[in-house]
Amino acid sequence: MSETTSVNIPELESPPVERVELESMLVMNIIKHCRDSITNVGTIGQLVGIDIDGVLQVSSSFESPSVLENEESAVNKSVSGRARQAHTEATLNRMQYLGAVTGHVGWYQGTYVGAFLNSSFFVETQYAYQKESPNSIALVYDLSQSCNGSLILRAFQLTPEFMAAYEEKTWTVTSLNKHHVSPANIVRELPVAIHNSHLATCLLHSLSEPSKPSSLLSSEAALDSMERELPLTETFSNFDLNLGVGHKKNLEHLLESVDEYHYEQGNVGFHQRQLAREQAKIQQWLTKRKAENANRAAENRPLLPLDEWKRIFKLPAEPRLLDSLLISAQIRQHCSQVDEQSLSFVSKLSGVRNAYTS
Amino acid sequence: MSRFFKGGSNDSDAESVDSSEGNRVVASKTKTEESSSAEEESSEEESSSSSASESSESESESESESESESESESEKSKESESDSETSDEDKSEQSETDSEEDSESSESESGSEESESESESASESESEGEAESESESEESERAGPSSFLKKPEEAKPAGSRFLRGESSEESSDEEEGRRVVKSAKDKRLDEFYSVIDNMKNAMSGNKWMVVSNEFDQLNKIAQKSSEAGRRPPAYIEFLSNLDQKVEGADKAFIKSLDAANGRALNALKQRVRKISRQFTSEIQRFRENPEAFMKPAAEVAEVPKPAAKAGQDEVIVGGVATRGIVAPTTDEPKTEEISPSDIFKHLRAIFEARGKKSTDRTEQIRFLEKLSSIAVTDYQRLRVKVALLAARFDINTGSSQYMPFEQWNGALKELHSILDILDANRKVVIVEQVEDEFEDEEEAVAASANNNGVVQIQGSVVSFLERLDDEFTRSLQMIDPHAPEYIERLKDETALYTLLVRSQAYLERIGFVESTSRLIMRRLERVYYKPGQVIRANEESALRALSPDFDLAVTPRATTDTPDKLINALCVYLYNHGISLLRTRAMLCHIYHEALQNRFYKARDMLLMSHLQDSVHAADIATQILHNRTMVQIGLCAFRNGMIQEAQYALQDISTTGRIKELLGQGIQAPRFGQFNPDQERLDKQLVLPFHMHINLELLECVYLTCSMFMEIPVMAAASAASDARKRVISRPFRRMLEYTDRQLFTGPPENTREFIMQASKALAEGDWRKSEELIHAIKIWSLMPDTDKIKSILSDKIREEGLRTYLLSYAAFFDSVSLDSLAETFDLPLQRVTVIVSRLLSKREIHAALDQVHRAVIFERVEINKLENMAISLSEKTAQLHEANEKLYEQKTQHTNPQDNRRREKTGSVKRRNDRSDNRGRQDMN
Repeated sequence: MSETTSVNIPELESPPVERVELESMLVMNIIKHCRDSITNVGTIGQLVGIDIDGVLQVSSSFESPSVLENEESAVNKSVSGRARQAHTEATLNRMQYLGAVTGHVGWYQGTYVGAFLNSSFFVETQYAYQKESPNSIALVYDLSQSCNGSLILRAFQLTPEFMAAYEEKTWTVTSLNKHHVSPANIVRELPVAIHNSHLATCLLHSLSEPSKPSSLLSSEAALDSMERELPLTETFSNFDLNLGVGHKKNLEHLLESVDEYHYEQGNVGFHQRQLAREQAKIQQWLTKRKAENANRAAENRPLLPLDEWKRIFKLPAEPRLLDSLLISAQIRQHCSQVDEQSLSFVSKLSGVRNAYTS
Repeated sequence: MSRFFKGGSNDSDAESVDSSEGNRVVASKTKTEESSSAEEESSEEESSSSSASESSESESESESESESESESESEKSKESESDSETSDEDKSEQSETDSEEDSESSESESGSEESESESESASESESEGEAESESESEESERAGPSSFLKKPEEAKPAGSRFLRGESSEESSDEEEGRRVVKSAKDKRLDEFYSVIDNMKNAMSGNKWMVVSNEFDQLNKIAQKSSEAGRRPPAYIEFLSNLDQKVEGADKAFIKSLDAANGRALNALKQRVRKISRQFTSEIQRFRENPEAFMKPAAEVAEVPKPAAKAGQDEVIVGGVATRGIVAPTTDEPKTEEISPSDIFKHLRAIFEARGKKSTDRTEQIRFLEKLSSIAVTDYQRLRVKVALLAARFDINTGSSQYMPFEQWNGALKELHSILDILDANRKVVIVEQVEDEFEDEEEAVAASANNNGVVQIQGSVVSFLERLDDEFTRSLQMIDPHAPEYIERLKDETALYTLLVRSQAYLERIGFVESTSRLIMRRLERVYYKPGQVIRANEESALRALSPDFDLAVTPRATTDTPDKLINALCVYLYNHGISLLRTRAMLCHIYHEALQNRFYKARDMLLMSHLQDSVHAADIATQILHNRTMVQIGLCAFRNGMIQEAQYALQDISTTGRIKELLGQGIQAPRFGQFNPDQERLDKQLVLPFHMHINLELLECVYLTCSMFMEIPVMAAASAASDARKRVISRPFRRMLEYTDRQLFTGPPENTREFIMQASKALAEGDWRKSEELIHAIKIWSLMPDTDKIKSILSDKIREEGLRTYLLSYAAFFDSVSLDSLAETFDLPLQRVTVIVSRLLSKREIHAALDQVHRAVIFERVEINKLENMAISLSEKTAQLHEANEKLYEQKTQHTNPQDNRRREKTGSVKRRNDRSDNRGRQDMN
């Protein structure tokens, strides 16, 4: 916070980020912003901070105009994108004017049960950021688990492989193969650490007095008195046997993704059939041409070129695999979430069973 | 006129000769005029050869002279031939001609006496004769030979005159006279010669275009005359000459002609070659010996003539005798004078005339009937009757009409009498394959020596029977089934059946297995669809018509006294001896009969064990129709036995198509989208079964819908109760109708069967089984079923049971427990039955409940699947789909040897694995 000059350090020379440190205030900010606009999934904002020796210290954030539903069309995209750009620049200028840190190190997005990869918005934006400064990160805050008392805040970066593939923008099988892109390595997650400022720590210490209740964290009426005394100790919400909405939502999203994937699969299949048909035609043409050439050779006439088919036939364009790639990644994400949640739930269930049997 | 002139010439009346000579001169003049006119035409084209034309003119004249001479010569030779033939013929015939002769001569005398006064009437009769000859070429044709027959007698006194070269005037006079009066044949002949003259003229003048045209005409004439039975030998002669001449024309010669003529010559050459190829043998014969050729050709051409038209000839012979005075009533006595030994000749003539366009079939039949009355020996009678049967079946050719009743009955009688003869005389058999066809009985008998003394006659009793049967069916197809005529016609079936039984005995005797099986199939097809009493009555009446000691090997009287045994015996014979098609059909008929006799299990087992359903798609349409009928009958049988589900399954295939009529062969499909195909329609119509064989379609529909109701209503109730029910449709037509009834704003009282069933269904769905029962019982068509009351009671039981099931399925959600007693009371069922039904529901897991035996109650349990579980299930389904699609894609890819996709597949595979895992989680969560 004190090193205002760090803005001048060229990012290119800095080593790649290995860790993200967040200011607690910033986290609160993000949570508040996302909660306020819970209906709007495309809630985004900008992160300001500094990276030092592979550690990205994010100190503050500010909101951006949210992503609209109709941003799919190119015109709307560019218009609102420009508006966001202008807003970001203006805010950064004002912060500079105030003397705060103005290193633009990334952005954050509010999401619901981890559904952020299924549209190309995330990768497009992140690509733009990383293109500008390779150390930019994307913070994803998941609202769904907050009501269960756990905070899910994850930092992502696009992998260099994906960046390279994105550079090419062909999204064909060959391109993906060349860059070794797979659904598993589209993004890379960075460890996140939340760092309290000294002032905040002091405040917490002063809060340890039992006089200040924190109703937000309470869930069990029976434990109210206990909580009143120990506001920052563990709650018993972890013993809640209800799996919660998150799980259901997760499955819903998973179903949706599978459907989408199915659609993409249909596209690939169609292309394949088309291709096969076209290739058969070419093969036919080639054999005909070869026979003709054999005749010509017998008559000592000049041979006809064999590669003319490229002119005559037009192979069908290969479908863009970006979407299916992203959907795969998304499915992966959902599955891992199901894994995580079920894991804790199953352990809870077995605990309950033991309690009953004993 | 000719006759009078003939008479004149016989009397050697100088005047008539003179006049005829004048006539001839005129004729020749006209001829020359013709040729000269032809000349002129050609001279217009080619002015240079005028001198040549002149010479050719003279030539043609001389030629025409010689032609007429040669013709008269040939005529004479013919006459002498026919003369000798007549002498060869029987005395009776001789006497006949004599008598004819007498009458004629007397007439002609009177004619000559009153020639002046009569000439008018004569000319009238002539014109009549002309008209006759024009209208019926055959008849005029016949006039030729008949006059030949007469001629010798007339000519005999003045025979010397007919010596060659004696007087060309005389003969040409004859010819002249004949030309006027006599046949188209002679006209044709004249035309023929004039054409040949023209050609010769044109040839000598090198006018090939003319030759070419004339040649066409010549061919036409030759064609016509050869159709009429005789090709003039002069044609062959000329053809040969022309061939030589044209072939002789070398290139240099063609070049010397101008372009048009050259081309014509070339074309002509081609055609001559082509045509002479057809007559190679004749030409060869002619070249070897022109003289001999001209004579035997005439003979050969002449001999078959009386025979060829013998059928009508006889009548006309009389007609000729009285011609001019018009007395067709004299026909009858004349015809009786055919001697039995001539029969074969006449028969042959008739066979030759068979199938020809101009043959008058009714006339043939009449003639054959007469012949059959003349025939003496069994052999003769059989031969004639076989021919007569064939003629009767020939009476109409198109498939659009049926055989007239009298002809059909006649054929039936004929067959009976054939069988009579065959039964009486066991030395004669009718078989399909005879080694040699014999003209005479003696020959046949002689040949039979090496055949155990059995005389064989070409023919097929089975084919005749089949034809008779087909005609019967066809007539039934075409007669309006609601007309009394139809019933009348149907009565003939007994006679037909009797005949079938009788012929069976015959065929068993001569031991033709194939024919016998065909016949037995026919017999089976006449009985299989009938109820037992009808078969019995039929059988009895058939046997009553036959002699009491009459018995059959396949279906002996003693053992086949009941319809079942009869059908069984017939079918078993066919299983053992028939070809595969007959076996299939016999099987179907057998099953049909069993189903008709209410033996459902036997019918079903037979159907299933025969595996007919696997192969019936490849069978012919008639067999498929039979199969469909059988299936329907099985369905109806199941229904009569109260087996609702079986009935529904059996009727399902037919009823859901919407083309029931067509599939059962009870009607034809209306042309769709204006694609009208008359041929197709005709064929379809042939497959339609006669009305009395029809299965009542309304009854069929009623049964099907009722069965569907019993099955669908509980299923629908179950589906509406359970949230996740997959839509299982048993009967689409039923669902559609129910939906249609639901859509209606106002439902009035039911009017037709369908409405009754629909409203009953709705009542049943609401649990109001009493109303449902009432409605179902109100359907009138049940009365068409035997044992109506029994069926109604079955239906009532069924309605109660299904009502109970429906009630439980739809209202289970609203009860915690239901007492079995109250259920039994509500649905008027015994407690035991209620328990059975409930237990079945429980065991099939259609309702989630338990049976409390102690308190006699059903206790319902409620298990609700939550949303998460639902989703987990659908997820697992979707992933399975995805996986399948992936496999398919991969297969495609590897086929096209594109290895790039392997990785991709692995990727999706891993996704799937993960999905499965999440799925398992979901399942775990449920527990």
